[in-house]
Amino acid sequence: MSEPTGKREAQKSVERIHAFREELGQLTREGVLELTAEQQSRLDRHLDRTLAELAGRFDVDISVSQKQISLGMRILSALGGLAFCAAVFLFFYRYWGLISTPPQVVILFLTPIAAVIAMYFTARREKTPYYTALLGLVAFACFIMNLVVLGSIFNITPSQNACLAWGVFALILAYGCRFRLLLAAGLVSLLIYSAASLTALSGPYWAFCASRPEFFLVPGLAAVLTPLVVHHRKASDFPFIYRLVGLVAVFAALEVLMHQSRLSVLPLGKKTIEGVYQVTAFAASGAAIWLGIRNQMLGIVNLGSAFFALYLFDRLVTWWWDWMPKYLFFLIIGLIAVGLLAVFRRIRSRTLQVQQP
Amino acid sequence: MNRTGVMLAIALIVISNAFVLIGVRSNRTGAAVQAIELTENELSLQSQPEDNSGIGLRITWLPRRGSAHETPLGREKLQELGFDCADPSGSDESERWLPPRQAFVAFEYQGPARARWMKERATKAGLDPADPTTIPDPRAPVFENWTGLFCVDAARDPDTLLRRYPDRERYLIVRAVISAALTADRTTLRTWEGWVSEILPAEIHVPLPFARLLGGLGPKTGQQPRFKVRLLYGHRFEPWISDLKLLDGKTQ
Repeated sequence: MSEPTGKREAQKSVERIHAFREELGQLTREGVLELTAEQQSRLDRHLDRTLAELAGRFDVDISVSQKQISLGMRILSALGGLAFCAAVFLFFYRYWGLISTPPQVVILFLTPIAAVIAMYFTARREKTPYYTALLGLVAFACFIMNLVVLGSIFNITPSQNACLAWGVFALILAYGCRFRLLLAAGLVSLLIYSAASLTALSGPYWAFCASRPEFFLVPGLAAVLTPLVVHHRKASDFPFIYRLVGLVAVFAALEVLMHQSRLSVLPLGKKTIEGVYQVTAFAASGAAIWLGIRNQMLGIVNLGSAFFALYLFDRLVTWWWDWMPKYLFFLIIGLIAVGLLAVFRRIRSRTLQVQQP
Repeated sequence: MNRTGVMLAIALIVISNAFVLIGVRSNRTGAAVQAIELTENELSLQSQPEDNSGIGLRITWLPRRGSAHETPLGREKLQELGFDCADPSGSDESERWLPPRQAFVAFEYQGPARARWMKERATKAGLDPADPTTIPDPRAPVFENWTGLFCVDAARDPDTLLRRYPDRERYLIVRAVISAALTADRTTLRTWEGWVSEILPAEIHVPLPFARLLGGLGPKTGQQPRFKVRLLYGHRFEPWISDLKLLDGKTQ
């Protein structure tokens, strides 16, 4: 067995071992394959030793109940982090008016640093970074509070540059403790920074970047393509987050542009703009489904399918809702769903035929 | 989390804070670009929830919105500020709204422009402009109608306004967000209308020890202001409070 390079690959190895054991048991019951007692004993000892090594080195879950507990711990870590973030913010706002400016600045400066240092020490003690991830969320929240409150104390003109600092900070912490939620938060911050900067360059006030959805398309696409350029050998679950955040940004922008041509910067007529973006939206979601199937990325297939369905429903409502009898409208929706099921079934069986010798 | 990650994170915190504090120092170094004394009528006390012990003041101004002849932000001025205001007679539904832009605005303090505007609105509404209870702008909250700040001009850069309005005690130049929309009046004549939708920053922090003076004040109930503030603006047009006095004679 090739050596796993990280926890994710180690967990996949554990699942392969369990699947192998189950299949071997089934084959033995059907009389297809029978091992001698000595072979069975040697196999069991080898697999048990492998599982124990993987659990010891990578802290993976080797049973179903362990897996469920781990999931619960990850949820608790995230919720606990968010609760601590709220507590830090509210505690500071409760008492900041009672202290003078210099101590305020010192507290704001030291709080995120203290959280980062605490992350370092907990990371050295944990194999699976539950507490480290929680502290990572707190550090991120403290840094946001740091810049927001400094801006408020000194009456600084708001700017999008804070989003750049927050985004880079979240990425540093995410790669440091392998925490996907922080990665997503960092990518969202950088997306907003990019869109806001493009908006400001084009003229409008940066805070109205939502009124220029096109400025989310390029950064979104950049996020989707980043895993192709930056290879994640150790953090193999990070590319999915890049694609997820990027695609949501792109699909959401296209949904807005399909309806609100006045928000476009293109020097074209209203109907032309809406037509261009409707075609682009369907093409983009279809491409996501196709690429997801081809590269076995289930999450991307699901995301592409969800937005394809949303776009389709959106168009059908726009074209038919006002004049068509409602029962007929929903009947046609149902028939379209049945038709799409038939199409996907054909694609699935064709995929199966290709894979069979 | 390895040492490199920790060092990078801490370095980013240090650099960001240094960037902010250097900017603050740069804004406040040297003589203030503007210094003006305003009262509570112009700087309204923001009510804070119980969980927030900070105190802030918000600049209030007139007019909030109005047609082209009521405010200086008509089509020509909006085009100067960079808005792409199409010919109203030819524009369709999609060009009715434009994304707001940042600019600099000149406010006249207790000047003739406000008095003229109040008289016009009161006369149009059949009210007595001399009556102190006349509300000139019903779209704004009542207490904001008592402000002495009136928008008289706008420009992309502050130097233009500083040259045009050199009286620092009478005119206040601030950074603001300008909104623009195509509106139709009762005769369906469509005109471009611009207005100041937000002043940047939106709220001015009141530091200690001034905050202690305002801490005991409740919501404003009458037209008479309860405090006055000496407001300074630096090179980056970011304000700070240099003095605050209660108008019943108490000082810090």
